[in-house]
Amino acid sequence: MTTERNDHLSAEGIQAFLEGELPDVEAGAVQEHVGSCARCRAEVEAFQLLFAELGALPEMAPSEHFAERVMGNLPPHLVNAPVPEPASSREQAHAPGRSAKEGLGGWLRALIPQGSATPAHPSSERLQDYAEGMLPGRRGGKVAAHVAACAACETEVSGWNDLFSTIEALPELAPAEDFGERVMAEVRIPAPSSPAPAHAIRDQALELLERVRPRSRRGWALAGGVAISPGIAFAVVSYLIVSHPLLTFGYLAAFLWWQVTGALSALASGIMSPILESATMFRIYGAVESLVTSPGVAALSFATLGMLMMTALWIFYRNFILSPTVAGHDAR
Amino acid sequence: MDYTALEDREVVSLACNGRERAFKELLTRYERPVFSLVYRMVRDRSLSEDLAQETFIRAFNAIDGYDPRYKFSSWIFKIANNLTIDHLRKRKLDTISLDGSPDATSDEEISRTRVTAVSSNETPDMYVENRELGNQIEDAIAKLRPEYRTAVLLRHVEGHSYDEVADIMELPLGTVKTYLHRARSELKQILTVVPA
Repeated sequence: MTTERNDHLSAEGIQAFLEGELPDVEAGAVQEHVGSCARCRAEVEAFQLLFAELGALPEMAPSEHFAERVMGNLPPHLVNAPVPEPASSREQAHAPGRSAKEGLGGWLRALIPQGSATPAHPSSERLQDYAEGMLPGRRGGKVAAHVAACAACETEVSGWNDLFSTIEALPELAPAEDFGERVMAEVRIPAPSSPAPAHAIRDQALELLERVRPRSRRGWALAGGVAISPGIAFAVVSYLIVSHPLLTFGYLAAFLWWQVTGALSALASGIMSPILESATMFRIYGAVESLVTSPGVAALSFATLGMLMMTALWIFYRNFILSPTVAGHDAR
Repeated sequence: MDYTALEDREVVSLACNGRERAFKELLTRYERPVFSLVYRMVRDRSLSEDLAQETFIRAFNAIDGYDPRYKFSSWIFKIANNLTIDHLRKRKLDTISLDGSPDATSDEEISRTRVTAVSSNETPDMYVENRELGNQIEDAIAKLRPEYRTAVLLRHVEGHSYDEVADIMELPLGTVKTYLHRARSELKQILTVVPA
């Protein structure tokens, strides 16, 4: 967080800003805040002064025989590395060997022996990050400025780039030709999922609604007009009724009922009259009357009725009097 | 439908719905990268095929559990990395001196005790096969610790970002950066050894 709760910059945020560790957007916001806030501007200036004083601290020199003690403890094959061209004392202090570049091996041998980076030079990890393009903003700019001015660091960065390129150029390897078949033989392919009917209907309804849903303001206005039209019509009719002195809702209901019943009666008489008044219907009626009054038909009717009653009683006895078993057989 | 034009999560969605072609498309996209990673980790072709095969089988049989908010490539590489690391931890590598027995006193004895295999499990055929990875940089990568090797291969060979590498290896971002710095420094050290 670059700001504290009261919207001023935190100490960590100011340091990150001065070190160039903030993303561009955040750095811009901090810059804008500093421009308008005197308190934060004073804090930033104080940290800038501190960083300048730290950067101006002098290099400390070791004792007189320090270099001899270091060289005396190096393994022989490192000490016998090719002697570089005479260089300035500043270069010798941090990069005692530099051979001609002969591809990757030449660069790597040129860095032997290599001690830890002196305070004036970025560390190996920082140079790796720089070579990868992983240093944002001002920090990357500072390293870039140093590399441009320092041959040893430029050589190291170039070497890291060579190493990265070499690794990235490694080929992609292929498995055996039947690899895919062997994999698919062991894979359980899931069954295609089908949605439940209720969900399908709901989904279809939602899809239909989505299709007819208005997409613009004009569409919404049109839909609103269509929805409100019945209400407007009812309101107009109601006004006409209420505003007329001789017309009430009761009279209107009675009138409507009278009209509906009259229409239904006319329909019924229109259908039934031709049937009832036809000669065929008269003959059928006569035949049915004579059958019903004959003794044989009466006896047959009674017998049929008796059989139906016996059947009903037997079914009632089987299902309600006897106790049914699980298998449906009578209990013994 | 042209599956090659679809994004990974769309293909995975089709696979979850039972489309066999979707599974094959995922296999086509990732069999070589996954196999390359595993092979460079274990340096044994038949073993790496088994591990890569197991990676895909596990991933495809658990495709319903894949969270589409994350990259499919990170997920499958995570499975591959976990399987490979587990295998390397279980396997005990026998390393034999390349320069002959330290007790040898004569040239003949040195020659007799010098071996070229780095593992007692490596047969001559596998040794010849491993020579396809025989250039300097491959050998140097093989000498790294498994965690460093994974980080270097994922970052520089497969081209994953730092965040993706951290996600695949299930490590904090700072740890991944440290591994990469140290791995590169070790590669530099290994490549500067002058052959005797």
